[in-house]
Amino acid sequence: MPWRFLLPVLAGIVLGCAVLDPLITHGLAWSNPSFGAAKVHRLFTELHPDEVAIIGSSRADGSYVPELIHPAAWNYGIEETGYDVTRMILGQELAKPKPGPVIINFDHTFFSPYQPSIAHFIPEVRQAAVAECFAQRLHWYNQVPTLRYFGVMDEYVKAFLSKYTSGTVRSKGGIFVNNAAPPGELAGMVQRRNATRHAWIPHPKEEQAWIDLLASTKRTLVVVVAPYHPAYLQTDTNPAAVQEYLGRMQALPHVHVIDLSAMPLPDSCFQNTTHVNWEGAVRFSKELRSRLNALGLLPIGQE
Amino acid sequence: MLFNSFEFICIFFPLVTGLYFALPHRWRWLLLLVASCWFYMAFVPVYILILAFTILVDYFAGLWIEQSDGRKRKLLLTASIIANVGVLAFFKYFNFLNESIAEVVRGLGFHYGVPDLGIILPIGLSFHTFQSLSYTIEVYRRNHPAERRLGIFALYVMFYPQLVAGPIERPQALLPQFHARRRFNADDFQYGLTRMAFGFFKKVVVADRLAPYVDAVYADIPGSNGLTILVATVFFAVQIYCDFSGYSDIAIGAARVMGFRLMENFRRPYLSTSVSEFWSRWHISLSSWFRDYLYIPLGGNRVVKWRWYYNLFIVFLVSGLWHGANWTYVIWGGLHGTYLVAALVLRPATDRLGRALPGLLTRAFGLLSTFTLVTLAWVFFRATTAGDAILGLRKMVTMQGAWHVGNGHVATSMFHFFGCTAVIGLLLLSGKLPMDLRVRHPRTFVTTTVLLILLLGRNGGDFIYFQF
Repeated sequence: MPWRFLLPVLAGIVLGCAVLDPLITHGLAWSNPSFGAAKVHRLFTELHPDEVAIIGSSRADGSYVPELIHPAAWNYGIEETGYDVTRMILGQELAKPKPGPVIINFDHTFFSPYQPSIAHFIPEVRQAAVAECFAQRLHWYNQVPTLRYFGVMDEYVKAFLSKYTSGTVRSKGGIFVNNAAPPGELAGMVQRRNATRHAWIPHPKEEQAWIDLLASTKRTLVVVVAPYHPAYLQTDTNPAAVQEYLGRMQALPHVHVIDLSAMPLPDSCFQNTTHVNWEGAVRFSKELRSRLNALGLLPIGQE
Repeated sequence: MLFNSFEFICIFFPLVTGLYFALPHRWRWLLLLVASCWFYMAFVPVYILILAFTILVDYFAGLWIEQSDGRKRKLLLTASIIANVGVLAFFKYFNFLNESIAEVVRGLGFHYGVPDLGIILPIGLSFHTFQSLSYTIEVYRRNHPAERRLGIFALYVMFYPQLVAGPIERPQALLPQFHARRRFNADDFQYGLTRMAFGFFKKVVVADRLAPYVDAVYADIPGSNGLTILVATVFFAVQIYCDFSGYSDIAIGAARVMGFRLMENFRRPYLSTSVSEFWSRWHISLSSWFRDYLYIPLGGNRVVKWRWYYNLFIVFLVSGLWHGANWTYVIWGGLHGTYLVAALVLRPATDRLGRALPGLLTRAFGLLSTFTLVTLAWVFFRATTAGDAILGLRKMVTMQGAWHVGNGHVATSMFHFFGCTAVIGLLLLSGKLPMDLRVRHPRTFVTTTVLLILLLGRNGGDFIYFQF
């Protein structure tokens, strides 16, 4: 009968999956605190009452050096994160009984449809907020131990190995590229950037929903625009639209907007026209800290 | 429906297999026919009509051929061939011929106004057309009686495991199996699952991991350096083997679980020591089809020398064209034809050299030279245009460009490169398994393979040979 063959095989597979799943989750996915999966895990399962959360996209991940901003700051930036995911992450952060401010990195393309890798979120797929946010992209098998990681293992292995490679600096969730783009390469990027134009694309429904979310809390929210290379800002055909939306957020009493998008930085501070490197991140983080201190927005004390 | 989809693995296959054994013999053909239609219609449903046309034409052609003699018999066979090849020519070659004629006419300075029809190639068309053709030819040759039951004949053309990418079966081998009463056989079941597991491993772990590297490089031949193209070409040689032989393993395994025996399609072809041996180990069902229905009717090797060479060359040219409507495939076929003719011409000299050298050295040389020749030909098979292929070959030979694998222009990180080499290493390790995959501990083998697939597999797409 087929069961004489199938049962031991199925039992072996089930057992294998049961053993492998925690190894993958703990040993790989959560092994590197600078990898998105570890950040999402920390966000959903840990409570650090004094923590100052920094959230946003890869520009948050690679621009904010937590140690230079506040002793209790933690960088939750995840690459390719846009409105949908940032909204989910901010919602989770605001649900925590924490008094401290939240720093939100705001990109000029914040409302564009970004799709972060599902790998960051699969370990927390049982969280209702994650399941809701990724309803379109999750499958039934993303609930099955080990099988849920099918096709995304590469990203975990890469994240695991990146702990042992040079070229980046890691600090409390943030990961920063050490080197600047070679001058010729950056010049090429600038040239390509200059050949294109971009502008704020209106997303009225999402824009209002974001304002509503910001308005739903009494916690201090600091919306920050991290530096762009001048070439990026010069090719924006409608900068007034960005300023107008920043103004809408600023109008909320507990929201503070700090626009450092045009912070003067030399080319040696950039890895490309939208992302700074370690040197740029250090300069930006120091400037941000002094602005936050001047506004009295940072709590006193350490985690 | 793709074999490497959850719908197939978790729903279709267990359901069809379970029902097959649950139903009495007289209903099984119907179950398999409905399942095959469902399987095929998961791609482009309306194309089932093309299959229906082929089935009806060849079913009646078979019956009429059997009842006729002489000129009428030949005429009926010719009509069946024309109908089958006509469908193939229209759907597969119309645009290619049209574009080629347009280029020539425009090159001569004339206006050419026949538009491109924008036809989407029905999946697996060349496979089921050839399988259906082999039926009418075998009936014509009186090697097999005409099938009386339309449903069984339809199943012969449409049997889902081998419907879209073979193995291309012969009526003598497959049709009697649909009539035979069969009971559940534990050995078949176990062996079938073992073959399927190994097929999935080849496809999902090896071929799908190599594909992004190969695709990235071949999408940008002008921007890639010689070493990168060389690596990508070797990767492609492994990718296409694992993709296609993986499909064949799954097909053979899925059929075997129900007790059906399909012909072997691959026998470790890269271990061949000559191109001629390679073709007796690679896509065996197609090679033998061309041998039986084209090469031998042309006279095979029982003719004068030049005619023998001509026969060989023509067969491989047609084989190239069978693969795809593009000059790159024709050149690929032509190259293999040239290799074989050259091997025949040079045989006295190579035989003398073989006798003079130690056996191991001769074998190593044969293995390496065959792999090199076959891999060089793959450049034409994989490249989008003949121009790209020639540029790629030139860069490879001169090692043009920087001396590293991958560059900023193609998505080929070192991590990915090492991942590719690691899975090739795993594939080489699997060479320790018996060729017929009769492993000593099948339960452990299947369990381990499934877990390896879950850990190392990638979400790949279609099988390469679906497009043919």
